[in-house]
Amino acid sequence: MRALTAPAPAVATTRWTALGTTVVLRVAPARALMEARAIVEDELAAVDRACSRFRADSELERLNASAGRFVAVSPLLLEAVQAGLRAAWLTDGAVDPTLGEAIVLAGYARDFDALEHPLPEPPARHRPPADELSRSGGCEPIIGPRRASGWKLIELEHDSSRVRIPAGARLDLGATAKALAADRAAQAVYDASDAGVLVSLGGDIATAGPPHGDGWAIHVTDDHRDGPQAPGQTITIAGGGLATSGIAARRWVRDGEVMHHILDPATGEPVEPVWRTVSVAASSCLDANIATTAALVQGHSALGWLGELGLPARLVAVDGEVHAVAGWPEESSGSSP
Amino acid sequence: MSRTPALARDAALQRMHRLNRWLIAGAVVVTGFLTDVAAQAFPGHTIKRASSTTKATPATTGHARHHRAKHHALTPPAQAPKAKVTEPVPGATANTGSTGTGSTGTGSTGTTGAGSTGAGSTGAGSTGAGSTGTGSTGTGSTGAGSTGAGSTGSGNTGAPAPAPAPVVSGAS
Repeated sequence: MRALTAPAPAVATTRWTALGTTVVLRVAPARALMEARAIVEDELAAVDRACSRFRADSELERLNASAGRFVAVSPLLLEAVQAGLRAAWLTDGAVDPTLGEAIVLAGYARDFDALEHPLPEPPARHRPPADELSRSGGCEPIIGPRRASGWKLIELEHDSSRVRIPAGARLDLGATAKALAADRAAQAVYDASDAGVLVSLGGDIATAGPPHGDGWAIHVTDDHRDGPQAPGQTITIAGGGLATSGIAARRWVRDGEVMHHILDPATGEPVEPVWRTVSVAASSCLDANIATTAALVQGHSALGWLGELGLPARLVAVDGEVHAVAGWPEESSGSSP
Repeated sequence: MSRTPALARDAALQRMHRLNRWLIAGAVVVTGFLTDVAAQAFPGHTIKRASSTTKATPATTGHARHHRAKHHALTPPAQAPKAKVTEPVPGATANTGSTGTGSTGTGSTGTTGAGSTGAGSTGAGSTGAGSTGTGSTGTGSTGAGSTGAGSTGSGNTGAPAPAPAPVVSGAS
């Protein structure tokens, strides 16, 4: 008589909350799950201590409080600042790490769950009327904060691991630091266990090692808190990273105005809504995240920019029209924006 | 009689001359070799002035430094994403808590039936082998998507492991 034994699970998944968002960890084989989770938790805790702008005791807040002076920083924060500067450089400032002050002025000064007026409704346009723009010289914001593009003034000293940000500026490494954390965590798990691993931080996904099956299955949609049944598209990636950014999540009301967290560095106010959601696949989660954020800021020109870079991308316009770029798979009949 | 010593002396001088030439050539070769070895063993470095003593205006300094920095371009993935092929089973709905193997079922709850249906059912005692659930909803490509309590693939028999629900990527 043949004993019935269950085969070892091929893949295991767990999820929890960290860095103010949902962490999803998937590993193959499943037996690597416990070790992997411990590694990811350690990595995220380190990133939180170094890069959080919601912790008064973080290294980043210490750096922000010392604007105008050189401050010795840890290698991790130095790496995160470098990543933010690289993002700014590669996007000509569309992704700007010095928007910290602007986003605080916009009302996003605390962890999003603690905001008083989060908003579930669809986004609205925030641009001031054209006549108001012309009265103000055409470039200054009417509502909200000032222009805050100071990334070119940041100084790094690699040898001594010191950073100086310009006086009056505040760094906000949120987007790039989260993506960097996902990349670092996934790589750390793979280095320690040789397991294939996927790490998702609020929908920004990094992978390392061999993929599970034909690839890691990912459902792209507007909000990472939605389930895989939400309107969107399901794809697989064999490696690298994938990020999704949009204006449908993290919105709030400030002085009666609808705000969201993607700011245009040229104005310091929320970007004009051209794309509702942008998803990009790249060699790393960091590169994917840089591209998605920049695409939201660039608006219509993002299609050409992503195409030139060869970054597979899915852009959903505010009216729901879906654009696939640079090899992103076409929607199947069952998909919906 | 005096001729022989003179010839011997000339011959000896000639030998010494040849020997000297070989020694000089050898010394050049050995010196070159040792120089190369030393260069490999003790690589040098450029002496830089201390950056903190820069007196340029902050704008100039930061801008110039950043221009000098090397930034790798955004890099596409080695493989482009592929569409996930899902094969919905006609008439099938997701199961909750069903066990066993067998023919295609129709979404019974807590009964025997069907592993192949209800893609991504990840609840306790779900069909198939070895999926490790997380208590989340199933993919629900057909039907309502099962919910479960986070099983770890126990008590399964025979059927192939159902694919785990896709990870969701959306704005945060």
